[in-house]
Amino acid sequence: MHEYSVAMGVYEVVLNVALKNNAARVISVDLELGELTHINPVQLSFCFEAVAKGSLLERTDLNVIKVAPEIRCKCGYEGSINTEQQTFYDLILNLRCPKCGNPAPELTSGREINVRDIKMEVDGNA
Amino acid sequence: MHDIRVEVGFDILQANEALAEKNRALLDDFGVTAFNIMGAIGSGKTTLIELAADRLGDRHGIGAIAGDIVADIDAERFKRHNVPTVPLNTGKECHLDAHLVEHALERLPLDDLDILFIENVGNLICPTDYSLGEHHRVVIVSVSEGDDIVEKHPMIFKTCSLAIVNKVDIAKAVNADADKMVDDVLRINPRIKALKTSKTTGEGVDDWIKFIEGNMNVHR
Ligand SMILES: Nc1nc2c(ncn2[C@@H]2O[C@H](COP(=O)(O)OP(=O)(O)OP(=O)(O)O)[C@@H](O)[C@H]2O)c(=O)[nH]1
Ligand SMILES: [Mg+2]
Ligand SMILES: [Zn+2]
Repeated sequence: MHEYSVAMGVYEVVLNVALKNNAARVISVDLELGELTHINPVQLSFCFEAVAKGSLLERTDLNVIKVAPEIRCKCGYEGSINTEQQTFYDLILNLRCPKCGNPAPELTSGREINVRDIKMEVDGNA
Repeated sequence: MHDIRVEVGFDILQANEALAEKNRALLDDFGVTAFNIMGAIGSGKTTLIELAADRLGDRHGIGAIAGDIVADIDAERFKRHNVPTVPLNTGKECHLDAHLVEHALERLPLDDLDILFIENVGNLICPTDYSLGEHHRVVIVSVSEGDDIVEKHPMIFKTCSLAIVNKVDIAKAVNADADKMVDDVLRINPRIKALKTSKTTGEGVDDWIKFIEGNMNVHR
């Protein structure tokens, strides 16, 4: 899996924003992680910590917010699908519209790796 | 010192997607059709591209991007078939991404090309999430990975338009049921095209070539 490269990606995005804001330290990052990505949150946090060592992001909390899959179907259905008691692979294999059974609905969420917001400590008063 | 919260909203996969779209537009401008060749390690990705280059080279301009932990080995193989090739050493990375491909495209003679093969890193998981700007996605597995390799990696078969089960000549020797593998592919993705191939017997190679030619974009 590519937790390492995702951690690198997140690190670069956050560091850029931190530098732009003259941050002294980044306190926390909220990261939305779709359940249909191949990313394991525990491994991701571990990699992030390793990548961030010795930087502005050294003690940053990475809050991983899981995002459940949602679909939009040509039958008009929009919303969640039943993900309970399904393994990751079953979820992918059985992805279908809960209303009409269409096996190829459009995924509207569940694949995000989204750096949503960042909390940081900055110098000066604003 | 005070704390601030900044809304960012930067999605890593979407950013890759946007770059991929840019690559695709560039390829379209030059009338190049790109195939993202993914698959298991050693399944025959380089071999099937070599076969295609030999069969199509006199009719179409063919180029390649060889992505691998150490890419020069496959790149040398493509060059021996007169295919202009850019090696992309991925080092630690387990997949190619649109950014790497963007820079590889700068080094290819796009004017002379009709078909671009992008050999991805041998891996059935990580490349799935990253578009490169390709027009078609192909996944190659071989019987020597065991005939349950397809069921173990459903996602990649969901995202491809062609799946190849290669090395069917040695299926018996490795105790694998190639037809079961094809069935698994079609169960996971009923809309995919599935082929059994062998470099040794030539089985399925014509169909592989047909798939490529049948899916070339009409130039401008
Ligand atoms: N028996 C048999 N061997 C094959 C076939 N296709 C490829 N091979 C052999 O399998 C080995 C690996 O083939 P490659 O084409 O290098 O595979 P690859 O997927 O590019 O490998 P990596 O880039 O290292 O992941 C080579 O020794 C090939 O000669 C086939 O149809 N039958
Ligand atoms: Mg190869
Ligand atoms: Zn529906």
